[in-house]
Amino acid sequence: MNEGLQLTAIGKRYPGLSRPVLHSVELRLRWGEQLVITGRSGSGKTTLLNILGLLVRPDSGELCFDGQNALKWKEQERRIWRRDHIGFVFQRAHLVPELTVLDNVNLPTWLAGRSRGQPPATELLARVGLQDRLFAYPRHLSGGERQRVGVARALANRPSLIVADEPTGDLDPDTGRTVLKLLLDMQKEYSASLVLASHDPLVVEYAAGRCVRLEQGSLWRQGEGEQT
Amino acid sequence: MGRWKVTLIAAQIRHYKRHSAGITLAVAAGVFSLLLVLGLLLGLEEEMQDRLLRLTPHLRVEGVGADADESEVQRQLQRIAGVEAAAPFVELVGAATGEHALEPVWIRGVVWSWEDAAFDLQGILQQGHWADIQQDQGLLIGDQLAEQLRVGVGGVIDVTAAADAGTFPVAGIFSSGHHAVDMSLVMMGREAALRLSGDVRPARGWSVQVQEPRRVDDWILPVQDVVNAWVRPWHQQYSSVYVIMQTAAAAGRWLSAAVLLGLGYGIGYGFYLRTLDRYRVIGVLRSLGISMGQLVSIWALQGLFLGAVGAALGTISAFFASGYLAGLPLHVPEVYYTGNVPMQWPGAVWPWLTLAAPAVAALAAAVPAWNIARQEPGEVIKDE
Repeated sequence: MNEGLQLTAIGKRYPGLSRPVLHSVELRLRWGEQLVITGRSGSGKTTLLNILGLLVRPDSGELCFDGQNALKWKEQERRIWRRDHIGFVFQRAHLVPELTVLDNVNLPTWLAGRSRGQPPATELLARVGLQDRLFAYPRHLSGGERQRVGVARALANRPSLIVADEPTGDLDPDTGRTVLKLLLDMQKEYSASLVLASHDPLVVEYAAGRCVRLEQGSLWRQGEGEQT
Repeated sequence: MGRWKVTLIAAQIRHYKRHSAGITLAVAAGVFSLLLVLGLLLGLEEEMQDRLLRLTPHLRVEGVGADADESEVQRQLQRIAGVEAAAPFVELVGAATGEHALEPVWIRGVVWSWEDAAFDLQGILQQGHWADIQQDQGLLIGDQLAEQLRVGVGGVIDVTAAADAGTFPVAGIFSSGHHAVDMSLVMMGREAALRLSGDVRPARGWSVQVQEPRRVDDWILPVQDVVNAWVRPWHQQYSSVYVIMQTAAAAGRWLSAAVLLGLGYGIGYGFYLRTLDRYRVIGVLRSLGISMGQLVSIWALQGLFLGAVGAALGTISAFFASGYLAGLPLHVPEVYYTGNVPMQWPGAVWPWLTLAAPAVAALAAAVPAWNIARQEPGEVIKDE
């Protein structure tokens, strides 16, 4: 099966740390599937997500999209794939503070420089319930609203894969639940794959897809001692 | 340039209103100071060329024998590359007496046509007719001396030298703008000067004008080879003024360099801080797939825009300030006579400076952004 993404023997070590953050990580995900990665803080979830999102290069292993090893791609190819196929939802939304809500959601489309039948930013913002805040600046939004803008921005280019790193980490439980539900709904609606990292039990409860645990640098099936 | 870039650049400039204004004003101040310093340097140089050297030989050849064939000497001198004119003179000291005053003077006996070729006497003639002067009809004196003696063209003055004295009509009045010359030089035909010198041997010599007075020392040896006599450059005669001018020029150069360095550092540091503040935004933009070229161009265009506005402000204000300064009276005859602050608008330099300032600002903005963007986006974003 070549459809989807596949991690093979991924390893990553940071200078100054005695043990690798990731060690022989194996993972396979079909397009449209959902995967939740849990683990304690510092277990390497963000590093793994950054590798999946082509933001960081691992030290070893293979990362294949539809059978093509992305680690052999040049930086330019990685950037274009990232731009056109991956949407990011960060823990702190990471909106561009000087841009309005609408421009923040438009940003991925601007960078792609072409219209590929992406949903209009206004439609996305209406979908996340922010149709009245189009021209507000991020500093005027609550944490939950910022994260909803982040979700809309992640979907702006109709990505094949959404990488969400602790999307509820900075939110209170109620707001976190709302944002999480929205993210899962929109992932289904836009037929994107979702890899979501969190140490929040709420996420495991809500997510319907596979759930794995990152521990000691390797992925384990949730609730089992078996390595993935 | 895509509209989105304009949106992003405008948004960043608006977001950092104070900072943007600070950078713009820093560029304006730098361009303003540089243009004024350069204007002053140019003004001083022009002052030197137009006033100090107006009637002063670039090279003064002294001790030439009376029996030398003048036409041959002149021909040989003018064959030296870079020598523009050469004119013989005799010189003696004396006094000029008018109705109400007596002034010490130095008397220069000249061959009018050769002297005119060397110093463009007709160009500085304020009163009188050149034709009369050429026919040895009288004296050519400076306007300051004429004012002191209260005499005009057609009037007469007594000139007394070591051996003889005579009464001469004033045929012309010149103004060189150099107080020392305008106050004490009396020019007359060479034969008249020789008569005044009597038995006392007058100083005989040549005035030699060269293409580049600032590099006059380069011509000393070639001229010496021809005339086989003592050759003195103009700056020996005016050593104190020369030292002041050289010091001012050196100070101006150092000041310019310091302003340039300060400007470059200030703009660079300003943009560095601003870019550092955008550290995470750059990481986010990279994670969204912005290319290095797009990112650098956004930052560079910001620098270019702020630099261009600052350079325009600095240039316009410097233009008006230099006009104002050039009109300021500065009359200190005890030190050095000049009517106004010696300021000249640096016409050849300002377009370059006005273009260079935005380029420096663009570079200062782009380099730190490029440096951050070279890191892996994941590393930039995770750095909380």
